[in-house]
Amino acid sequence: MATEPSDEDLALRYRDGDLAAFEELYRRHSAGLYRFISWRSPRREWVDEVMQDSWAALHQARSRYVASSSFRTFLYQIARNRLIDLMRQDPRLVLAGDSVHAATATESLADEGTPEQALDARQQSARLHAAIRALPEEQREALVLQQFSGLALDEIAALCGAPAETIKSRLRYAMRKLRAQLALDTSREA
Amino acid sequence: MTTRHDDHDHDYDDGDLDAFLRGEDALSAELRGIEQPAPPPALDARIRAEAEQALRASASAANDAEEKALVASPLGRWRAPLALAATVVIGVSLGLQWKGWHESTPAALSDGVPLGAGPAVVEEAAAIGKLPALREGGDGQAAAPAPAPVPAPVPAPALREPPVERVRPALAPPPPPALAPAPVFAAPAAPAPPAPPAPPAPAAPPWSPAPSTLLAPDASVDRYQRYASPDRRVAVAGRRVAPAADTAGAIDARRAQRWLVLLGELLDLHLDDDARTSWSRFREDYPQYPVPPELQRRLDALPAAAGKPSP
Repeated sequence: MATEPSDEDLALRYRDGDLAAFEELYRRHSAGLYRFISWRSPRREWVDEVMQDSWAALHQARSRYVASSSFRTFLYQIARNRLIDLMRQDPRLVLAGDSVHAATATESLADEGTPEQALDARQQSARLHAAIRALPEEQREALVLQQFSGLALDEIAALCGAPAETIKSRLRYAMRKLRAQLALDTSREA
Repeated sequence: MTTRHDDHDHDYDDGDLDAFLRGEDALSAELRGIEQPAPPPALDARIRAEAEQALRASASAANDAEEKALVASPLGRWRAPLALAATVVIGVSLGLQWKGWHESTPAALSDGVPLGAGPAVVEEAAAIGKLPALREGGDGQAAAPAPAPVPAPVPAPALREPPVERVRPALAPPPPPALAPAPVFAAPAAPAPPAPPAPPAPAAPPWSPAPSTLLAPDASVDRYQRYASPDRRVAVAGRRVAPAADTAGAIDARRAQRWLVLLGELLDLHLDDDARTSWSRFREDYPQYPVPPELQRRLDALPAAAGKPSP
């Protein structure tokens, strides 16, 4: 049985102009990257833009990619830097954007015409959304990268420029807070 | 201070955290179940199309470079075989000439210079005073400040000229004064006749420039840089295409803004050369566009490329 090529092999092939390698990389990582950008971006309208620019920047930087580093870290670092740049440019937009993002998420859930059986699930989903957004930024980032984008601890550590133990600690705090918040919500409803 | 309770709590937490990280607990299951944003199909299509176009543009640029490299030399790919053939022809003709020289060389000369010796040996022989003596007629008057009658760079024909009879006596006693004319033969060592090993030298260059031209990082950087331009219509096609509904102002400002963001990205990635090139292009397109002070500072801090002042 043929084994699938690693991200790093594909990245090297892509570097040499292999379109199929790019397609495979995109298939593997577009959803995770989009989630990361969405959760990290303070403004909804930035998400598509950052996503598109990240892949364009990847194309530009592909000649510098060396297989000694994780491709995923390389890709996410590009998107993360782009977001940081945007946020640095106008902090007021960031503050205003937080509420826009929250409202968008809530609206999308509220707009969804679902049967009654899905009501609990939707409420739980909304509670989780709110609880995640309430996390400190560093903990939220670690949680999103680990749980939603599937990055390993060492990849998150490399991306955030922090030791793996620190990332683990952030994840531990995030996990505790989410549990506590959900328990609180449930007790309130009861 | 760590208490026993804390330790127990920590151990419990670690196991709990591991289960959470592996996605085996209830919370991670709930997290997996929540609605997640996904890239719209249109965005997917756009990104894929751009990548495809960019790769094609890169490939065609590489082909152009290859063609240019071939066009630059009219001999193109035949240079190497031609150089090889020329080497062989020169080698064979030299060999024949050498052979002819030896056939006509008197035995007396062979005493002084080994048969089949190349010009280097001839020069060596000259240096120790044997060959000048030939030219002086072997009458033992080599000590005279006789000017060298033979043009130095062509030793072989000159060697055939002296009569055989006068060679022997001259060779027998190598008088010390005979060293005087030696420099006449030794001096032209630099423009010596083309030795067989010499011709391969010109054969080497045809191989080296071609790959280096094709793989030159600068050419690649230029292509990537074009793609890095925020206006992908410009990047991919390599020329500016007027957008259908774009009416200058707002779109242009938006493009400039995005370009500046990209410049910041290049600086973050420490792609200084790319950033410098992109910055030059930006200033060509937007000479008056305001640049955020922080970005301007970082751009100003870029080391200037060799021979290229920053804009």
